[in-house]
Amino acid sequence: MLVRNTRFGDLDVSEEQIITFPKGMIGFERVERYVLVNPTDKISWLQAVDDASLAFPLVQAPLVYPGYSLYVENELLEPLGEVDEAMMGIYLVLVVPGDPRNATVNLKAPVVISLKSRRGMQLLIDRPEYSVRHRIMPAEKGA
Amino acid sequence: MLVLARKVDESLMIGDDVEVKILSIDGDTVRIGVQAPRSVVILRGELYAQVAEENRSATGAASDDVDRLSSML
Repeated sequence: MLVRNTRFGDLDVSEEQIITFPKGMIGFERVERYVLVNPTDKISWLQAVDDASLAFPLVQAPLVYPGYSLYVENELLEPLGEVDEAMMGIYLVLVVPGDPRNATVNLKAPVVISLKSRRGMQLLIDRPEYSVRHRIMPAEKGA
Repeated sequence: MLVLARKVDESLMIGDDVEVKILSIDGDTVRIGVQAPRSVVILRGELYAQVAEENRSATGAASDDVDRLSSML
């Protein structure tokens, strides 16, 4: 099937490549079907199948926050179906402004994708050390 | 919305396994204790709004800017 979108040109994807978010993304609860664009790159995109302009840039958590941990009970991961840790990706949503050096990630709301069940969900982790706007590059001194 | 008046040390039940107890009141701050199964998520209400806002900001990214960031990582 063809996934139309405003960023990458039409994407030809098979049904098996679709990742279902049964609860959507927070604030976008009704959008359930996504594809992961550039999954092996440092930054991939979670592109909505049914909304051409809706896409979230994601970065693998360990790349920007070594030792990042979910701190959740296994019961909370039930929407993902059968969970195989080796086939589970933990991503952080990136906010990339015009100057990418000021990019931030949201440590309180990671996106977890099970490649085995092709399901994903956005978790909420309310820990004081996790900022919703964590800079991934140090602020430049004097700038 | 159901509205209930509770005093310190009084509680209320939500369903048969979630108990919400008023621990103390100090000016406009109420300390609340929640006893619930581990599968129940308990969060401050404003966190949802904050995360929805960050998600909205995330969707505004231009692919050129993201490519530039990717090359810096």
